[in-house]
Amino acid sequence: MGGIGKKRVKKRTHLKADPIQEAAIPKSMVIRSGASEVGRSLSLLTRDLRHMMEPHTAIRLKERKANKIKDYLTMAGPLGVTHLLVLSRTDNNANLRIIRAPRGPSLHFRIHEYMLNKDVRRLQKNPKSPTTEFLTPPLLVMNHFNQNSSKDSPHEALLTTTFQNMFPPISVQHTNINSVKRVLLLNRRDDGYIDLRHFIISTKPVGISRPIRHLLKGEKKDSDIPDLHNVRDISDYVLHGDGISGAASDSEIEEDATVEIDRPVPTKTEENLLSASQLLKPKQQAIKLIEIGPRMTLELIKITEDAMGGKVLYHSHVHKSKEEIKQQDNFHEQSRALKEKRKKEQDENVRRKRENKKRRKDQKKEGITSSNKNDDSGNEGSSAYSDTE
Amino acid sequence: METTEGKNDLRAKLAEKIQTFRSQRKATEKVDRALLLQRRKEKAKARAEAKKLAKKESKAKQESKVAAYDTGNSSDNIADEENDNHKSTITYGTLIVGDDKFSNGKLKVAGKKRGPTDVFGALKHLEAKKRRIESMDEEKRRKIEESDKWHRVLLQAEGKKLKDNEQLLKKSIRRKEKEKKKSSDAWKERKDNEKKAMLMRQQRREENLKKRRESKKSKKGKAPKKKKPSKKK
Repeated sequence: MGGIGKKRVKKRTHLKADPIQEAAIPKSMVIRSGASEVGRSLSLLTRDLRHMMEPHTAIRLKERKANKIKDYLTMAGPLGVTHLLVLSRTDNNANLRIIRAPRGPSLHFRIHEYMLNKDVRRLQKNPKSPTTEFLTPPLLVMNHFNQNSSKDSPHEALLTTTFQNMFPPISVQHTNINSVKRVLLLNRRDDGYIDLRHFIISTKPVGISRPIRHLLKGEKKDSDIPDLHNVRDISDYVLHGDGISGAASDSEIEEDATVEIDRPVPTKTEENLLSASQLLKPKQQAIKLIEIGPRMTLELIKITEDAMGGKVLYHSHVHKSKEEIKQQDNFHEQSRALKEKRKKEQDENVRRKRENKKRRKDQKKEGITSSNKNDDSGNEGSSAYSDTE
Repeated sequence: METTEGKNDLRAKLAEKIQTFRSQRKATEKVDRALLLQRRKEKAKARAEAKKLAKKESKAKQESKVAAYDTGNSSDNIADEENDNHKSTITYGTLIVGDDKFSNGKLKVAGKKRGPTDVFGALKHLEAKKRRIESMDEEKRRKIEESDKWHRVLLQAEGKKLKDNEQLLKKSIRRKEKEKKKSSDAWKERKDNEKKAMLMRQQRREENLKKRRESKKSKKGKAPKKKKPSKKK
């Protein structure tokens, strides 16, 4: 018998993750700064962003007003969190901060416009409700993003790198195409604003009439069995099934949205319905992107060196001269030195207090022992306190 | 003096030997030093050229490799046909190609980690860099510091662990030294204890042997008991 009293381990479904691979996966937290103070719509945006960042994000994170960003940064290390997305609101607008935990840098964005998932769904004629799409991370696609760090604009390279490192890397050899079910599109406009869109990828086989496509689905539901009670011949169903002509309409599939993929091992239904030559041909799939939200228009305001505060490396509105930068550096250096000095003083004070406490304790002990001796010798009247009042 | 004469003899012998060797290899009588130096220089130049060429070739190879993975599309592939001057550069997330990484439009070939891997080495490296920067003029120093700052931030954004904080490095060195001292003390103590235990065991053995010897002696001193003859019935 295979180990009596041992707990059975499910090997197929409960595979243990490789710790090295697990460490390479970026994990994130989406936080509202000041918890519910940001308002209802921004709270909903937080929820939508969490959905977008799934599966490697804290989906059921509960914030409190008392929680500061420092607390989250402290917890980021043990939890393996690499990025914090902090949403906050000022009187004029909403802001998004992307912080690389634990030491920075942090990118500050202004949210000019945003649309929630429910609003995006409301705009669509046939909205798609997501199912298993959130079990895998989205594919990141960036348009008009500067790739190489030129000396004039190193902040652009940092921006690209930050977005790239928010999602797990894609292995060209090992990633299964079917596992890519969502797309996160970041488009850089001419005015420097960044449009963020989030889509679900839906695919359909091309060059097959709709009734056949219906059959090829091969799902074992009663609703998927074709209704043939009005049909005299099977050809009627194949050519004009469901009262619609078999060929797809011109508006249905755009030509540039079709891709060829290697045909996997054919299913039983495919083997029965398709000819041998068709089975050998690569599969043609029509790709359609269905937006699920949220939508955002972001503007990069500034980049700071540390996770919290620190030197401003780049600012989109404030441009300083070399002299001003020098002054700023000096100021930072002075403040750092002052901080260190205070810390030293504080440590010294703590040490001194501890020593005093210890000394007092020792004196007390000595006092007790001496009083005990006095009691033994017969001086019972002596007391530590005298009634002089 | 004899020593000087001996030296002269040796010198003469050496000169003779050199001459015989020269005649054997049919060398020209007069060596043109300038010509030798020139030839040497030319050789060095040729070597440098070859090195440059090899570098260029490897760079071209790398570029072709990147081009193979390149994902940039021109704007006529995408819908934006009117805006011809604005080429559409599409970038994806980080792609892993074998052991290499393709991100930010660059193929980062996986190789050996450069630079120091331990804390001591990192601190040494940092101090050397500091000295090197301090020796430069103000303008150059500022430029280097600026580029360094961005480079550091980029590496941080990629999630690389940086060992560039002098205070922290010194702290960790102190901690390591403390640990070393602690472990060496523990080892020393263990060795001492072992030695003591060994000495004690030896002492005990000696004592036991001594006791045994003494007991034997005392037994010898006493007269052995005579056995009574068995009575025959």
